[in-house]
Amino acid sequence: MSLLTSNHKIKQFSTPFPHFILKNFLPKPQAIELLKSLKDEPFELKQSDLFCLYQTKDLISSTNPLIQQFRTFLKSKEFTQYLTKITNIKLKSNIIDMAGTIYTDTNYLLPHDDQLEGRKIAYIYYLSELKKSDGGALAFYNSKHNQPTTITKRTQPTFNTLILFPVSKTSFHEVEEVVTDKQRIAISGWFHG
Amino acid sequence: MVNPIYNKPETVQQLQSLFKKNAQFPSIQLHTFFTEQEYKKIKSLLASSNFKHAKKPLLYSYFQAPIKKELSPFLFEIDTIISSIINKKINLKNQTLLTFQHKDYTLLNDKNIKPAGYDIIFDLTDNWQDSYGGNLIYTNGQGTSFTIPAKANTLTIIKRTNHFQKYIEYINHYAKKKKRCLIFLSIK
Repeated sequence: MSLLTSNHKIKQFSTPFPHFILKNFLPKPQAIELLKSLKDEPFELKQSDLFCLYQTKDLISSTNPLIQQFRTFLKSKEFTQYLTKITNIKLKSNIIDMAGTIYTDTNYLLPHDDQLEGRKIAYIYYLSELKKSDGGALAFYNSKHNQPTTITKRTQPTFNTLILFPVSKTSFHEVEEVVTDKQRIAISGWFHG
Repeated sequence: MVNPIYNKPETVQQLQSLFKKNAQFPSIQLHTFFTEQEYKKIKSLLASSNFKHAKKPLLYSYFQAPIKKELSPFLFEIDTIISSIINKKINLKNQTLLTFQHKDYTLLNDKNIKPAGYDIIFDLTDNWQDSYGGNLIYTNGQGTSFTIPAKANTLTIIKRTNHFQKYIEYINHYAKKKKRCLIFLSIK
């Protein structure tokens, strides 16, 4: 049985680099239950020159059935074939990286391109909602000679929305600093090929 | 003029042994380095410097200004004190004047590993709080790091192996309009 809602809408964008936004990704009650499950997972503060945020271990180790159901669905043949159809990128089903992230006041992820062996498509599934004034936007950079230049698109986290983008030499992005006490909660990772 | 305490032979001797104490990361901080009057002069020279924003998103975001000629006597004094602490004649090179404010940072980069050497940092950051971020951090990438918090009128000397690289932590919104101001120097 598919977890996808019948009313999920996919929007495709090409600038500054290809990306897809799927609103109402799961039936709302399931998204709410998934959020509750994720909040029960242990999060650890992760800090480096590039980021400051809270993260779970890879959710492969979660014992929560709802999280495992979500993970199984995303890495399923059905869903990876669907992604291949919309992105034209060959993916391996059953291989996925997945972690929960929480960004709260002052947390950020500075510009990077996500490139690492095997990563083909990056995804972020939002389980919270932030206004522009809260910060926490996913910001995409324009690039020149494979170097990021300026931010040309910002997307505020919207509950139950999945964002996907192919990982490439130009997929430069960042998570802008959260400037409120609200939590920016998401499940994110990469599909492999 | 440098705080007279740093010219006393017994102080220099103490500083020399303190500097060598941490074998992994030989370093020392000299607080209240210049006299109050001299420090004010330096601050006013900085206030009239022509800072321009520089950003390479994968490497840094900060404001940079050319070092004014009028700062030379102060740099000469720094040069003299460092020579006595590390016990060898030196020449300062690569003088860089930077300020960092909200949203500024520097990032580590595998393609830009600095060779081993001395890092000299003169801090001119007034009224800074830990909660703003912006710490100067040295890390060996294997879980060992040393944090150098902001402290006005402080000279830091570090003998760095090439395993340790530095970055300035992202400055968050609590800093508002406040600026972290640093002069970075290295030795020939």
